Amino acid sequence: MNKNFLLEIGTEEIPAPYLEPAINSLTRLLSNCLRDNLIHLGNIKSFYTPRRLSVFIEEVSPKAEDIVNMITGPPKEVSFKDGNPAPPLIGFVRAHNMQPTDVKVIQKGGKEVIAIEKIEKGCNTREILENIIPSIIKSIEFPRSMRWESTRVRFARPIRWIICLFGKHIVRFKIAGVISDRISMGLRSEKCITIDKPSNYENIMESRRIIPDPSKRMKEIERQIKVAVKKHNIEWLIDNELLKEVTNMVESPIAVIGQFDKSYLSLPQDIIRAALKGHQRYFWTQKAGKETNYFISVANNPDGDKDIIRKGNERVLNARLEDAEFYLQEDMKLLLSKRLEDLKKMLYDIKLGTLYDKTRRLTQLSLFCTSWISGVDSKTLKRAALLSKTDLTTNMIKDGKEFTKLEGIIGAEYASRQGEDNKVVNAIREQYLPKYPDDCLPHTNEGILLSLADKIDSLVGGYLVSGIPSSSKDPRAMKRNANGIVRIIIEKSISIPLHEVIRKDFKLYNRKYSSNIINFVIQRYKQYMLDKGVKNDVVMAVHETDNILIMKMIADAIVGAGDIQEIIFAAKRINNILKGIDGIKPKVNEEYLVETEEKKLYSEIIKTEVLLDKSISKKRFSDSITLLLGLTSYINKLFDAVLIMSPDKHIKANRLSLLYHTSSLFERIADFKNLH
Amino acid sequence: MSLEKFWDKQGCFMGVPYPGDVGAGTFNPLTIFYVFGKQPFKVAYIETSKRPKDGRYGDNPNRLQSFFQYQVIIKPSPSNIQKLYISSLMNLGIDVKFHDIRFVEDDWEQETLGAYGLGWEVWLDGMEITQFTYFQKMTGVELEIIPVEITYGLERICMLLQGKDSIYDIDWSSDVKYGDIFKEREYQFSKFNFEEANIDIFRMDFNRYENEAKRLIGLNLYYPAYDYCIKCSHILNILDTRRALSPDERKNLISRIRKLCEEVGKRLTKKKDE
Repeated sequence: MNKNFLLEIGTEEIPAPYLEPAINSLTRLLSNCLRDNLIHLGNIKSFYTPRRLSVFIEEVSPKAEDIVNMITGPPKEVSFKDGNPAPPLIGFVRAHNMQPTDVKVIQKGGKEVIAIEKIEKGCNTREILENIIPSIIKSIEFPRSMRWESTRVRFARPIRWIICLFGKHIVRFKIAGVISDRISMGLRSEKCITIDKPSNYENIMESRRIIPDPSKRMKEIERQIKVAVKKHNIEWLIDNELLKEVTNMVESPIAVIGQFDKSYLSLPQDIIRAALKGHQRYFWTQKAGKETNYFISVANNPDGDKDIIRKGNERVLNARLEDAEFYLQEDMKLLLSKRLEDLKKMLYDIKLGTLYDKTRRLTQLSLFCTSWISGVDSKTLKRAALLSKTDLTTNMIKDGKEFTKLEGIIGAEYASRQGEDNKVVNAIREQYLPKYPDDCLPHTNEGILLSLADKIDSLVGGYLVSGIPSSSKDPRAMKRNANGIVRIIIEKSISIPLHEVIRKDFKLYNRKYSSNIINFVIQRYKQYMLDKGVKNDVVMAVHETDNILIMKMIADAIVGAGDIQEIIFAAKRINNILKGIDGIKPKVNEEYLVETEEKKLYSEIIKTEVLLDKSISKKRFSDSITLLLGLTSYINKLFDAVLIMSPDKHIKANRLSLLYHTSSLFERIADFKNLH
Repeated sequence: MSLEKFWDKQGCFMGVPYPGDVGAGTFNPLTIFYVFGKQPFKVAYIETSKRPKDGRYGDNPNRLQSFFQYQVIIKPSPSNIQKLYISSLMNLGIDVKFHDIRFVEDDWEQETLGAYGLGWEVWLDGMEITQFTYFQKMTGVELEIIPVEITYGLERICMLLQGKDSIYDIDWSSDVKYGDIFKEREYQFSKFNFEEANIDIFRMDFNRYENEAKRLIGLNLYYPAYDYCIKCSHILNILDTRRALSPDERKNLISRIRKLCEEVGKRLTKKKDE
């Protein structure tokens, strides 16, 4: 009879970000391993809290499937004599400890041979489990793991108990000094929990107020928060990322509402948010669209005294905000513009000079870029670039613990408090955007240029120090920078020749130019397009240029053009003739155009070429494709009526030139022949 | 006192504070010198820790440049250590039943010591009151037997016990408050660390102490050599607080101290192996 299975690995608190990957890997390893052992499984459900990783599997077969091995013996003709077993057969069955009556005749390689079926009995599932689980537990990988006892097993944190049940029975094994049993630990203040059978696991846990299912736990937290904010007539600033993290930090949640000192509301919002979220993992609240001094924390003790917990939380938060206030007061004593001197003492990189050097490059590079973008206020840009890195010298960024990640934001905040122009403030604020894949982009033109210049300079700098990153190692976040460049250019429609900008930056570094960077950016662009769902052949057919916006527009035009089979067909047809022929003259000699079809095609090409160039210079690539589409009927007529490989040498050469010229028009847009 | 009794009962011997300036109880030779090797070791002691950068001129309710830690080291780490720790809090009078106790990921690394460990900061109602670490490496050497280190922040625990909002309001005795004794000192040392410490003197001292440590290491006198490593480490912290160090210079000084510590560690483990 099939039985349910349960494994609970009980640990000391595993870091929140480790949990989900760990449970996925445990579930996958376990189910794969059981299937590999020919054990049948029903539904699988996984659970986790900071102190337990659990897998529950329904309907597991009690034994592994039997394996039938067909063992072939001697040919049929020597195995029998007058229909009775002959010595070769008798020897064969004896060797396998079987009877002559067990023999079958089967076909093998076109011959009839005798064979026996040997059945390998499947092992007991419980025995298999005893053997495989310890090694499965050891193969779960964590970002960082540790040792804690003498067998030197590695795990994220010490394993302190293990439940392993198959039906009502314990699956016994030992790992890291722990022997598996049916006893789990409850909340810290409570007693042990005995699990009688796997199917009762979740219910028993919940009856002891532990919610092992993370999605249920998250819903419970949300529910409690909603109740709590309603009572205070405020709104909860929903933060799904934080909600997930908090869910992974508790097993028995209670939401507690507290207040920090109102005077700290005058601190910059980003700082308050960082203090709440970054370290303490508290949620913030609003009332009528305005942030309040109420916050919500999620504690892990359902018996806790909410007043005591609230007071403790308030005390800590006030101290953190007091810290921020201290940094702010200290930092305000020195104007950002006076901090340029400090930048001269701070290294950007030991091989790349100081942050002041970087500032100097950024100023020049971003101003250089203004040639291609209209509506940029150079004065604003110059000022923003000059002050852009000065916040790295402030206490808030250097020492501020959870505030150190606010670079750019702090700079903007201080610039604003020190009376810098609003446009300068915005550009400083936006200089690092986008910081992560789905982050927002800079809005202002000056912010866009500053961010672009910053990323290009970091990319070139990274390249000078460690070359192009490999797929696994990218210590200088070059991929992130390149992806940022691609997103800004495309999503903000920045038409800029990257070649020149990158070359300029190399010059500012005083180093020799390398085209590796532009190629790297183009690769990231291609990945970006593929991620957006554009087909591979389309992405690849567009010729590489250093203006990735153009590449994107051409790809869009191809996708948007609908049916372009005629173009693809014509391009393939021309290519089939031209490939392998050397020495084709690019220029058509009109004298040798004999047939109507070729004359007609030539005159169409001349007309189209002018229009095509116009459409390209206006970046109206769908017009370009329509023009090419218009040519296809003439091309087809030519192929249908005219023999390209004419016996006349001159005429043949000229027809090849005509095709070559035609193909060059296609090539101006894309490599159509390789489209599907 | 009740911490002392508690850990005494657990078989820890009562250590003494290190007489010089240290950044953490971990620097005490009682920790550094005994975490190596196979021999079991249990110690508990109080330590004054100096973190110049955390000075707040006596203004912040729970940040100080000089504070008290209670340090417990047990090698090998017992399997019920979290439970023991919780009992020690109960023993102090913190009824964990009413509070929110959390073990929040905080991997510990001390660059100058070439040491790292995995563990948590323990939160009591959101306040960090303890650092809880399983050492993995010390002076660059992978440890054979894993010790556990528990470091209680005494001021913060007292605050909670006495229900005070500021460290300075803690009753030191029936008629003396913490602030009466230490507030002025906090102010003066903050002023000194941030503004007045003589950079040139400290730089010179750093070089002198470093040379002395090297010389002593050469003589295989690693105990006194280690004293000079600690002095260098404290000077580094002061120079850093005084903003005298560029990031690369800071890195450089750290790696110099680290090298000294690694040398001390090498000699120490060699001795233990003999």
